[in-house]
Amino acid sequence: MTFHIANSFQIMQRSFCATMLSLFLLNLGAASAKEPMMVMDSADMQGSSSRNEIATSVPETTTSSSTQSVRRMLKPTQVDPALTEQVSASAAEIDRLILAKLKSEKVRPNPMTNDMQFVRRVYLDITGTIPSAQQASQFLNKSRTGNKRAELIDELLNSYGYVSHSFNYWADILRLKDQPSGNIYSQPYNEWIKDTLASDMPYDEFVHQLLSAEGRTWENPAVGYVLRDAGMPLSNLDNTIRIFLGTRIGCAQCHDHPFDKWTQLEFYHLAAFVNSVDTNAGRREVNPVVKDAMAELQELAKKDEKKRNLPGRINGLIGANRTAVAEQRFRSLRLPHDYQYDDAKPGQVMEPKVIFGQQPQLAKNASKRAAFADWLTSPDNPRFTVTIVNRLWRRAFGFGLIEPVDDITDESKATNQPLLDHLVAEMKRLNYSQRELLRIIYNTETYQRQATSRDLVAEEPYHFPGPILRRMTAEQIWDSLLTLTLADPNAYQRPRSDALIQAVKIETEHPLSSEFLLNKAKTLDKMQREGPEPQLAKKFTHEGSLLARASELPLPLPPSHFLRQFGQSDRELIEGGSTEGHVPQILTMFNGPISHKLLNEGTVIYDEVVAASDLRDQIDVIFLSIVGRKPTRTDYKTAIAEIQANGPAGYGNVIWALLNTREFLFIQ
Amino acid sequence: MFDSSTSRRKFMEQTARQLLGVSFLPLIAPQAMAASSKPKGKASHVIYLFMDGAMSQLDTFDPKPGSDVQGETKTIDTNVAGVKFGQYLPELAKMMDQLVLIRSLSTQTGDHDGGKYLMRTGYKAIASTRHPSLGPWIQKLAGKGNEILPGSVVIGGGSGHPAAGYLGAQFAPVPIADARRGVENSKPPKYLSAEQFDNRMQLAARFDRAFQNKYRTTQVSGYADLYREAISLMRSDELSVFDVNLEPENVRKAYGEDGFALGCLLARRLIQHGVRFVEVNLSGWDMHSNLFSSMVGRAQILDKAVSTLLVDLKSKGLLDQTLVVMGTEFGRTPNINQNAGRDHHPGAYTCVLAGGGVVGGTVYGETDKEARTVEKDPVSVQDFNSTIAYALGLAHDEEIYSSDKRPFTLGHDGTPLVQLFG
Repeated sequence: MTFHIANSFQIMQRSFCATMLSLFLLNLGAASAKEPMMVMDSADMQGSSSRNEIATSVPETTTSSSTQSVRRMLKPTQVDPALTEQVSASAAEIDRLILAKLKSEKVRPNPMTNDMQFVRRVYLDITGTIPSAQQASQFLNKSRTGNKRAELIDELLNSYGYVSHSFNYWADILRLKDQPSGNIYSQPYNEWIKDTLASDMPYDEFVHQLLSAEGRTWENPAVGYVLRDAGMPLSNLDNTIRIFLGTRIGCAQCHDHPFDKWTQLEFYHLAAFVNSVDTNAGRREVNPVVKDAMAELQELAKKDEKKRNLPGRINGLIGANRTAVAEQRFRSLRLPHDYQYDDAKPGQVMEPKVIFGQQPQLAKNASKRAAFADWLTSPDNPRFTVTIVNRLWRRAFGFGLIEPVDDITDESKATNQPLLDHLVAEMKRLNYSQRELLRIIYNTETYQRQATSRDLVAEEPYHFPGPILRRMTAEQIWDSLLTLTLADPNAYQRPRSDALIQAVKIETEHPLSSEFLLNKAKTLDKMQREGPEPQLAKKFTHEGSLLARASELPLPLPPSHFLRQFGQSDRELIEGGSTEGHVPQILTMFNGPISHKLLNEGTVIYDEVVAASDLRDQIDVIFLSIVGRKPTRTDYKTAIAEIQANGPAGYGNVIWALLNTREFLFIQ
Repeated sequence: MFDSSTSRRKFMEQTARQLLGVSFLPLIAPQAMAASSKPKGKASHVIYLFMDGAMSQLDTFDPKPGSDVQGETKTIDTNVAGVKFGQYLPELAKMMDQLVLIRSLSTQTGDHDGGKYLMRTGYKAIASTRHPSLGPWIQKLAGKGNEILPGSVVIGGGSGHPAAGYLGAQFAPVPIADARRGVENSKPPKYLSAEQFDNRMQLAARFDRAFQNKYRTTQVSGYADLYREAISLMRSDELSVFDVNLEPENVRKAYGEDGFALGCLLARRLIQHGVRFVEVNLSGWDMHSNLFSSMVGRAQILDKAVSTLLVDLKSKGLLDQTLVVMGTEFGRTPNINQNAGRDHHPGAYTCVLAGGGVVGGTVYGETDKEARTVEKDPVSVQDFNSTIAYALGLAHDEEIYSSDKRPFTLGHDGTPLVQLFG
């Protein structure tokens, strides 16, 4: 290797030859650099890859016919321009309430962020990635006339990045998996969640659909929520109350809650609303159609050792068609036979009763699940709106007004009750728009203050002198590295599951032959190997990594994936993601393929460094790209000395070094 | 066992100081054994096999032959008279004389995350702090066993693991996603010399200085330890300890081909080189439906890997100094549900110990005729964890302080079951 003996003086000259630099830098990446960067495929992608425009440049959603919708790209609806004045008034009210509290607690608010700190943070918080150097400088160079921060917030909330980042947030809470079990195809559900975020479906309506939907995932995708806990309606109820009402009643499933007030009897009364859910409701249609064919296959399997696995393969397919959500309206729930308390008898039939608020009036034959959903999502439910505004506040500040956000009890006190009241009232006024509420929060001075630079003290309430310092989530790190790599990080949009579902579903009223089922199983195998998704993914796969945003990757990812290593949830536990650092993460940042890719020709950061006009500009580009700020005088000195000493390799060293700073990993 | 020379330690110390501006904390803390004369345990390592998802007691180590709740799982005799296992654990049944069954564990925590957190930390999860898991606790009390290798390793632990909790990054277990791959990205590219790597680290330290000076949080400063450990590991010959492919093929085959089996093998390699605590996870026990068919595969993996591990440890003379633990977050309901499965049942469950000085062939505690409730010698999670501490000669009641100055103990008021030891 000869790269480190390059003549540094030549390199320092303003008019140095860009190709020469690229030649030298190329060497840095060793063997991998010789491979061409991934090949973009069709023209529609080229059209959307102008890198200094955010997702407003993404093509409109195409029609819903299944062939075209495979490549559908989401176009989010836009924040309401008519609300702009109300946004600043509401943000000012939040600031007033925060400052009043800080004053009474004698805490000084943190200083305001400068534009460099702000632009990086707001990109990460809203779109889940650092801004590109161009995006950052576009904002920094914008004149101060008008309110450029408010304009950027709107622009980002209108972008695909908002959908992507919000999807990651909800995927962690809802434990989204493509296939929670062999029989359940949940991709249509996951896609639907993305759609509801793009259309900013009112949150109460969203939750109502999750709790009351019926049908198959491809008929009514919201059923995926119940199917995530198929066969365990009581666990599903426990999760529902925790996620949407911020309350833990799970303990009361087996005995009176030891630390909260809930009794087992109350749990069972509540469970009587949802216990009647049937997640195998398709069996009545499917069983008669496949009965003879299955018997035939089982005979075959018995006779021929080689065909032993046949029934198993077909079973998965049939199971997927049996999987459908319906309510058995007459199914009742009884107390367990070993019920131990005096307030009811073991085996007693439970009337549906809610645990707080207004008791729903249940008409005979009416859906109990729908009544439960009405009660849970009602603006009058004392914990429904509180829980979502507390969650959204936490999303912006890293800490809730009530902590933890999902273990609220009668004793829980918000650190700023008037503020919580204000947010609740705003959420109702905004018709449960998550995006409009976030828009107000991001427009507050409180959010735009510098991050708190010390640890929070346990047991001491936090009064929000500013947001807290957070390490990026796994998804933010991955998406940020993608931003440094690809001109259009959103280019790969995961193909919709329409073709996969077509291969799974059986739609007939007539008995099927065993050949038909065998063919069906073969088609499904082929679809999983060679269908639209594996085909497109292949085009975007570079050195074993699919270069797509975290929200476009399969769920869950294998444990060895970069995202999992940096703490992405395995999707087993609610909010199972982690932002703790450990040694293997550091080794990946030191030596992993992504760090090296960034020193190669064909990545955004490389190309922009090459294109910059002089050394100072080049150093500017590197700093703006990675840490979203201009270099300090000391940084210039250090970087220039490095590049003088090591020539072209010095550029690579500066890039590598900045990637391996805490400043890169944390959100100020 | 500790084959790293003093000169290398000095070198690492200097490198770390120069590169990162951090002082090198003493790697080998004084053994707690010296401080307290009470615990007599002589083990120095733990291999904790975690049955993730809640293993059914009835179908494994606490069967109730002849009862209605036993379902389709038949029972087999073990080599200890009167002790029976579920039918899919034939190899372990032949080793019952080396095992201790604790059949009387129970908790009040019936959700997976709560149960796993409790088993791993001895504390209930609360919002204001995150408790350390057993590996970091043991490293805190006993020190590292090898100055280069991590104090503890978690193989296949999932994203929700409590890890080092408030003890911070210095005590963080190294997670291994897949035992077959070991520690990935552990070598810098060939074109980069050690000096060039150091140069890059120096640059990073300079660029990062202002940020570090401004933000003085535990998490930010903890990265100094992580960088130091990562560099030591990267440059160490000990790195090959993580490579199970260096084992002869017949050894790998004996354990089994799956991730858990190779995790057990990796655990043996790690403790052989001084790692204090290795957790290996086997998931898939959450059998709400079709339990009796699902049980076959899970139990067979467990049976083959663990029986091989015990033989292997013994043949290498490591069994006495290594406590092997089989734990799980809770038990499963005796009643078989409508989907031929069993649901969550924290009321009674079984955990198993071997090696590390325990007296094999022991059954401690008893459940009723349906394995539903504990009838004799109840054991809490805190007692269980205190027993692990005791096996290592550590004081389960030694107080340490979290960063916000609150006292905690490993045992959390539990009592070690000293009668299990010889």
